[in-house]
Amino acid sequence: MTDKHDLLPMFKTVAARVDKRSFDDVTRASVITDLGVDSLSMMQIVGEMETELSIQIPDEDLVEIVTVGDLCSRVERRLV
Amino acid sequence: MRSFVEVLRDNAVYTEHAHTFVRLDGSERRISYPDLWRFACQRAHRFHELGLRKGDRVALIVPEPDAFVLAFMGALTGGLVPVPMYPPLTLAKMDAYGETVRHILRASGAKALVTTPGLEPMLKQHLVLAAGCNDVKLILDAELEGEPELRPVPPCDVALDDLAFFQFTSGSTTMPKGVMVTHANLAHNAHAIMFDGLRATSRDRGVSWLPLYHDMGLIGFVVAPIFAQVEVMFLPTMNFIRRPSSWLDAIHRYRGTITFAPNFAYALATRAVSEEQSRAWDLSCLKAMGCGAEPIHADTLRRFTERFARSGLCAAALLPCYGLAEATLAVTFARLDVPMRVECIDPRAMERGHAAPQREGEGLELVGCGRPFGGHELAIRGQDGTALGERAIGEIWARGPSITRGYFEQPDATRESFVGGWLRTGDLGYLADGELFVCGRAKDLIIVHGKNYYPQDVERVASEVQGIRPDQCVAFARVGADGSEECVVVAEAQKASGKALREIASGVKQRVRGELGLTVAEVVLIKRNTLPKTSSGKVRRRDTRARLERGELELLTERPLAQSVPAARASNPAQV
Repeated sequence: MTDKHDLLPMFKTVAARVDKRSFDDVTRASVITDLGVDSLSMMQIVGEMETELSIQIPDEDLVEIVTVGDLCSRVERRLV
Repeated sequence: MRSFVEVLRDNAVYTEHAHTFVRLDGSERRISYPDLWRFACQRAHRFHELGLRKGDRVALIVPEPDAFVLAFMGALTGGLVPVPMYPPLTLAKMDAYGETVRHILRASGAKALVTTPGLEPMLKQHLVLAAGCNDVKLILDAELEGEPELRPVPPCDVALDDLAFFQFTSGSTTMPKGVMVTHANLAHNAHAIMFDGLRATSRDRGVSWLPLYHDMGLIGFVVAPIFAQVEVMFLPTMNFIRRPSSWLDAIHRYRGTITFAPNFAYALATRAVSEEQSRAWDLSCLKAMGCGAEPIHADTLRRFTERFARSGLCAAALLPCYGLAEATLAVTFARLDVPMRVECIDPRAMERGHAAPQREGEGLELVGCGRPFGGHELAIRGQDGTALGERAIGEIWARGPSITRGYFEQPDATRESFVGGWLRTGDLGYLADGELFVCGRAKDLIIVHGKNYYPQDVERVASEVQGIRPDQCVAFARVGADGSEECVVVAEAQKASGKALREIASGVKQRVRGELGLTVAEVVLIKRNTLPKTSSGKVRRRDTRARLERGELELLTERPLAQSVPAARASNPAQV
């Protein structure tokens, strides 16, 4: 497949569903801890993305994640 | 009455019995009852070899359920006083976490902290620099491991009168309070829960993903089941949060009969479990689904039982209960096998302090939490302490052998809440035919995701945001659209453009999130000098909330429609 999966739109959709508000302004450079999402909701977002894509991101991979782009590329890597 | 340690010892004859631990990587570990006792003794000796003695406090930050449970049981068996603490959450801010850790270590006077190699560097970084924490000995959980004792004899005796452990209430960030739980408290509450409440036998099986540093998971599943020889399957909390289906799937596979969860978990499971995931489930094995630790919403529980009825879930298995850490864990349980009791109360009568029942579908729904356990007593009292009658709303007071000794080294806070053998719970409620209905809190706590936040903390942080008039803001809880509690901030803002106001509002959210880890659902900015106050200038949280709901505040910006909650589901008039 030539076109790379872009997970950002999916992140926005799932985040909006979990946190019940719009995440339209979010970019790949947005820092996760600045999004105003508490850590339990953040893990719900990660979990729902995992379930929808039938993948699993190991915990170790989550530790170094800072931006939304980091999260997206971790997920994208699992899809390749 | 035997202590937990004696029961653990005597249970070693049940060679067929075991607990099952699901680890973070998904693998499972079974530990038999005889091994639980042998490992507990082995760890108790290790603690003593490492220089700890009876009565010493030892903090535990151990994410793996099996390692945590063995360390906890080992500490109790060695006469130590464990102080369970929550592990850092992935993707959370570490500074605020480090601060909480330091506060609790200081407040408990912990001599040692047991943790894992993965967390050690982060914890070291936060401890070495902190005054009052440098002499806390760091112990890696691997240092506690060893071959189970062949002839297990504990290093010291433990009496019912001894302190068992400290339960830190997740309260104000500046003043965490350690509840002193004795072995007698544990034994009494465990008997009440397992035998009075659950009528448990050794054929029952518990399933829990609840955090083990919190009373419902720790006492409800680590301590109490041992008294009734009930086997338990433990799942890591994060597994449930990431895959809510893992909870009910475990109940289906393990044939669980007993489980517990706070209200938000029932809402989450209803929303996030897919048809496909639940197709094969048979949940008819469940006889008790406890619900407690945060306000219970009839709607949330009804939707849950309707959703899973086709998996064989019996609605009567729902078991609303009431309790708090200061009373060890539980005080009342609804009756087993009986559908939950829901009352519709007239909100206007409630404002006057009386719970008048209405026809179904009208007024505010409240869920009955059952009667107090045998040997325990409840009273509803007015602010001056006078006893109130049937259906009068007042503060819930509780008495009995589960009431703990108070807060460690906090005589003032202890005197305030523990009065002449009674515990003032700080919750509001009423009694109807002996059954307790909880309708709010006398203290203005905000409980989100089972964690307590003090409005004063939220207000302090929000006040620091540029554009907010200092100390001219209030924080309170309301019921969100999905039935769980959420935090709202109402603040007076400096005059500014619409864009600047939006930035102020998002600044408040970010700041509160960053410092307290709490998500603010809505920030409402109002005109200067319009925040409701008392004559002495104190902010009025309940009044502000009521006015917001009635649309009586002078807003600086329009509120998005989705934020306004329908009146019938809005927060609780009893607190107004």
